[in-house]
Amino acid sequence: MALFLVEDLAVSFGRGASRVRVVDGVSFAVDRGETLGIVGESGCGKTVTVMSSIRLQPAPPSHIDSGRMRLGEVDLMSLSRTALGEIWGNRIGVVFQDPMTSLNPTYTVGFQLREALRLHRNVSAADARAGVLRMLDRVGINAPERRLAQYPHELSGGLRQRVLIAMALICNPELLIADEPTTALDVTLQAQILDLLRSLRDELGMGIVLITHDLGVVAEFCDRVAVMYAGRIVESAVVRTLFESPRHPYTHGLLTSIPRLATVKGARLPVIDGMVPAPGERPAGCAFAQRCPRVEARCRDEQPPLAGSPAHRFACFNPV
Amino acid sequence: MGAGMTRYLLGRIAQAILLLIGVSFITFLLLYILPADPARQIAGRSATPETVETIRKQLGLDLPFHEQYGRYLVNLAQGDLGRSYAQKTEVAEIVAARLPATMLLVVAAIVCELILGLAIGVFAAVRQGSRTDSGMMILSFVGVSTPQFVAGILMLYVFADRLEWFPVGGYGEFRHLVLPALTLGILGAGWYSRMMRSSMIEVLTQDYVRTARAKGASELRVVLVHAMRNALLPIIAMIGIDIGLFMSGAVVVESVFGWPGIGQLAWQAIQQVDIPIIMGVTLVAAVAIVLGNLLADLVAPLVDPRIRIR
Repeated sequence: MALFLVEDLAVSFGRGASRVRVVDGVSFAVDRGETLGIVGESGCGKTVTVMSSIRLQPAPPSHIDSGRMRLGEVDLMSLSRTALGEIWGNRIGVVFQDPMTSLNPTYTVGFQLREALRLHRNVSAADARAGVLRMLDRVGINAPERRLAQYPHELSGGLRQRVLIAMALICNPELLIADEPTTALDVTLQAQILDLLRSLRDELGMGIVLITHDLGVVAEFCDRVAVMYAGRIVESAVVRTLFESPRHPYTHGLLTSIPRLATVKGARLPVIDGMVPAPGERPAGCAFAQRCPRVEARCRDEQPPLAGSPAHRFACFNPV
Repeated sequence: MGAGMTRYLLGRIAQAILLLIGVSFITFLLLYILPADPARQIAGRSATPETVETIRKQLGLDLPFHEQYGRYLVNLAQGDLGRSYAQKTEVAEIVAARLPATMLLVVAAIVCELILGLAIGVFAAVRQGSRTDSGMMILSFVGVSTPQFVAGILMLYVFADRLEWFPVGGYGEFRHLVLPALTLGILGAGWYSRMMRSSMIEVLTQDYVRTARAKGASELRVVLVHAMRNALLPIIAMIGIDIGLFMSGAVVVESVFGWPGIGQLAWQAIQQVDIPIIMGVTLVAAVAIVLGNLLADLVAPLVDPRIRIR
């Protein structure tokens, strides 16, 4: 049984006539010890999808129109805010994109870490401190005692991201949601943070959902990958399969637009022409049809279903 | 106390001295060009021109402006605020006797506006866009727009005259304090609730608020622990301003309720053209404004550690 299962999730924003569907019919699953990458351009709905799937996306303004989300035996859709508070930070850890703004500037690092532990574990102040120090050590923070008394603005970006990871993992969650955890960091730090996440995953056996727009990160770090376009999953496969034989023209376009060292100097980098249609301006058929080199007549009228084998699904009438 | 702090405080003191000189000059000048004649006021209606002239000489009011002001400054530098024309006692004594009443009122009013303003502001922010929110903002708008004398008289009518819950005026017991403090506080609460609401709404969209939720904090904890502290910053600056404002400006409320504070003293002194008292009250107000802002500056870094005093 999958650790985390999301079926037919649809999310919209706004009220009345201005209501816009942002995420439509998204399903995915994550097993224990497995990393699922969710990739797509900015604004394709990756973050809304994943945050809505654990019901952390503030509603309103967002609204979950449909969806079944299950963590183990727990049906997340049926939970009250109080019950969700017992799952968040406890069974589900979340690491956010921007370490510079994701920590509260007015509390010490120690306070924020202890809080994460004591919200879910009935431990004494001394035990909480010990637990925090252990966790800081585990995420590779030097001189953890000194960090406890510091405020976020006194730490570098890399340290803050480690603190955020420590905070997300301090209760040994079964599932870790990581929303572009390395985007705000420089390249050497990116590698360190990903290595850290990988070793913690293997050590703790948790499932990870990694949101990213970086295919390099996916190739290196994920087991399976789902490609999102305009609020839908257009292709999902085991990482190797997706990189070796992408079937959806969008995935294909993404992969060929990665610059390579072997590319002849001065040659034009292949790009996908056009823009992602804005939510609310999505066509009746395939959202990628306007930009697709392999478009057929029916692509414009009909939504291609996500089909294929469980190991490799794609939503295209005329796959590559 | 670091070197930066010492430098900051010295700077503040220098600033305060300059401000006091400026304020005293302007007030003195205004009183000098005022057509009212203090000597005539003291002498009374039936006094002969000779008597008035003698009094004028005694008080030094016959001297040119720069000499009068020069004398005043020299005395002020020695801590001498002069003597009241009307009461013949030291201004410092009269003002000092009035200070406790005003300070009590200021503290009570600020407590009122904080409790009311913050509660309404936070509640409206959490319910942003709902009917509760609109209702509360209409209420705060009414609070902000009601003149103090109208609010004061309404309070008196409803709670003192009709319901007889509180006395009409007086000083000395808690029940005397309630209505004047509420009158000042309700008006302030209008401002505070609006400011708190917008500040809170902004803070609630911050990433660290989402982090707090993701940790599993309850909605109450998210608002009161994680958002509140950040949302309070603009409020703290405002409390500093209010301390100065109320110390000098509770004239209307003190008069309506017969509260024996600085405001009432100022009102009486203006009617009697009692220049030394008017000057004394003005200087107290200026000092209060400086101290209020200083207090806000000193408290802000305790709430937000990113703020450093330089």
